[in-house]
Amino acid sequence: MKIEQNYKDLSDEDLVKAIVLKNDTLLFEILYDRYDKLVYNKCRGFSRHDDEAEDLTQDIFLKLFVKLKTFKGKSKFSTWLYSFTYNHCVNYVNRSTAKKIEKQSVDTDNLKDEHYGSQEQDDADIQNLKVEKLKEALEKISPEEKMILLLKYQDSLSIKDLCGVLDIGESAVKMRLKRAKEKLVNVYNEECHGE
Amino acid sequence: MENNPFKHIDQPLKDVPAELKSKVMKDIATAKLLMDLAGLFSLNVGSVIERTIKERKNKRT
Repeated sequence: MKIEQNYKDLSDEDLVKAIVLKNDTLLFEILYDRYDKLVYNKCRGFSRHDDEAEDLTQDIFLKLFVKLKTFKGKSKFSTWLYSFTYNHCVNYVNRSTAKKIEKQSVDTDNLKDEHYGSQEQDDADIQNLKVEKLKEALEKISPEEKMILLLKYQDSLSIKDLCGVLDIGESAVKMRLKRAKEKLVNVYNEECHGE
Repeated sequence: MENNPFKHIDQPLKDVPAELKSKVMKDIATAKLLMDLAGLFSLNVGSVIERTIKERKNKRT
């Protein structure tokens, strides 16, 4: 009992090391208790029904147990888990509704690739969005764009963190963020004007 | 960012259905069993080579 209590006090990173070392399911239960609510609610954002979110959560935790040794501690565990969860959800959405999303998405080919550096200035656009409309607009952009926006603005990952989890360079992160934001604001405005 | 609407999406967070934990832990137990079984039949090439080299060195000395 005391040993289990000791593990409960461990940081996420140390707990993961202990789980990987012993392939211990009881220790994994501690990790599940820490992150089940977060993972489940992230999955709800990518699914149509709660049942679907439940299935996604179940799959993610199983995959997590098998892949846990691939966490190398380059970022915080929570940051790595956000990315792990979103990747699974994005793949799921792409598999099930790829065509539907393609139809609804806005063409970004003509958007200009400029001013990628002015991150803080651009955030002014985001601050004025209404929550419900924003939620609807997020459903209409691609899951990859939704993922990078949620990682940045909901989970507060820095550009450096994003480079790590997406495995791309800083300028590529800024470019993707800017494109995703422009697309989101376009879809948002279209919705508002359509009313 | 002071007024961040992303932080208010899907708030408050919904509780996880209680039965999900037992489903997950059942999956994990099965996965562990399969991983352990696979471990019994797999060969750790690195350690075999290391052991062979060590034994060869011992024979020479």
